[in-house]
Amino acid sequence: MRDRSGKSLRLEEWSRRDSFLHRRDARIKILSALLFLVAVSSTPPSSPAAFVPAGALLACGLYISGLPPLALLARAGVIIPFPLFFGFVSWMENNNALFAGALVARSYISALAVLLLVGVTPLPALFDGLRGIGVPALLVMVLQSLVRYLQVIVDHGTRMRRAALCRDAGVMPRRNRQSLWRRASGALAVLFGRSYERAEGVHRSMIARGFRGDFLSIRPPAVTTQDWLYLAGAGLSILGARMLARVSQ
Amino acid sequence: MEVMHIPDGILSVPVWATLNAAAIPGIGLAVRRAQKSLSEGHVPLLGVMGAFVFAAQRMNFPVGFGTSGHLLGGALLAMTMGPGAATIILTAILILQSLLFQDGGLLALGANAMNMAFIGVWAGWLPYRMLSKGSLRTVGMFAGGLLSVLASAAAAIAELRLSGVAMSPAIVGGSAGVFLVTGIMEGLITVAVLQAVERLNPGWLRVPRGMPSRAAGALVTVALLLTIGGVLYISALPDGFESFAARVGVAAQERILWSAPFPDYEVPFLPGDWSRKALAGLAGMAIIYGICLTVGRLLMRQRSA
Repeated sequence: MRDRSGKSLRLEEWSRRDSFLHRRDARIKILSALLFLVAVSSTPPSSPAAFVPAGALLACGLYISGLPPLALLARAGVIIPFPLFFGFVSWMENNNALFAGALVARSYISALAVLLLVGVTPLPALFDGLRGIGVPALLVMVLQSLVRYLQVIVDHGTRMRRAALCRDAGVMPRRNRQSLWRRASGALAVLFGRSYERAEGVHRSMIARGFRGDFLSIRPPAVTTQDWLYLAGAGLSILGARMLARVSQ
Repeated sequence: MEVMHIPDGILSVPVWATLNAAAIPGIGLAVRRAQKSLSEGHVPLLGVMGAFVFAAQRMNFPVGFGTSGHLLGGALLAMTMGPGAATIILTAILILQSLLFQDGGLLALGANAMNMAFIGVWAGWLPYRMLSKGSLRTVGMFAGGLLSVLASAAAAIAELRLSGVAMSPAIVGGSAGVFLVTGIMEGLITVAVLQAVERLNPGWLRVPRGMPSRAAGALVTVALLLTIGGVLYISALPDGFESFAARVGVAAQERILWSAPFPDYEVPFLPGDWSRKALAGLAGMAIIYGICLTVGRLLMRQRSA
């Protein structure tokens, strides 16, 4: 959650741009992203070179999307510590540096693919797409209200934290840690209560505006021939990249 | 919540495929039950509580030695919203984290949901449910917080080991130590926050229906601890019997008396390593589910007779 709101805002801005990928149907983009992830994941992590074809395919996607490549590459880098740690641990155990490198490459490329998907699909369309591919409607509605109130609740928590800091000027009295602990838990309890009450208020105002148990959204347009052609092209390219990866091993 | 978000590309195909196959119907079932039991007003509540967990993770608790920790939230959600609702909220949070914040992968969503939204939530809920009445209530809250972290972490480590990530016993032991400290922190914060929430409004805490005995509570807690310990132990070491048999030379003289249907946890007639293992895993789960269902129905019939 550290500075996450800024990151999601930037993604939101990217997703509102226009490109061939931006114009494709969300369901088709989700399916092609899942296909890509399965192809990458099923490539054995024997060497980082095995992921060059998938990386090249992703680079094409990045180019077509028109998104800032360096910012995307940097942002996908947040996942590197995880595979790096376990790759290193495995390297120490098995003396196989190639496996470690392949694990990092596989994980990084997968994260970049998800980032590309979210970067070319606005969140409302993404949620409609998720519903379209069979994610339960209730779960999508929870996701929508989570996103809608995330910033509100996080801002509320930040204001409470700032107020507490102003009261004690950020000084932590070492001998009175128990009261600090009580104060922190009290603040969280108040935030819990405010969130609870806010949810009830939200529901009341939703009912006042005619909420009948389902968020209204613009019906997603039918999948066009161009979308199907894109899916076919993406599928074939992914298959080709996967076969090239097999050859390169 | 941030016990271990496994990204894509780390888990092997059999592991993520099996866990997705198990988690998807599980989430579907939780949603279906929620649709029956929750009113429309709960939909914004579930979403806002998800946002609360995000915000709560930003609030630091002083630990000492100049460090601080923060709430993870799985057990707290289970004890306030109930395990079914907590499962849905945590699944929604995991989806959002994987899409917007690159915390955890999309294909690994089944694994992460299984670890945190199912195992973590139920490991947090059961001790609280068992001990929620009487003087041991606080112990139940603490055990819930502790076990939710330990169970999730143990499951994640086991999945990594099954995916071929080699970990020495020292690494597994070190990780277990880190998770134990995190779990104790989570238990303490959960108790402190729940008590403060209760002072504000006792109605915000979930009151379990039907009180099982303390012995049952202790049994569940010990069973959970043994499971977590066992998972970590087998994650670090080779199979004890096989290793012992190889050392004393018995393994060379073994005779096969009965051929198991899934030798070495694989379906032998299928092509491809991962499909053999994935189907064997699914078949195993289905058999265990069938046995549990049959035993449960027999017990219910006996009780009602």
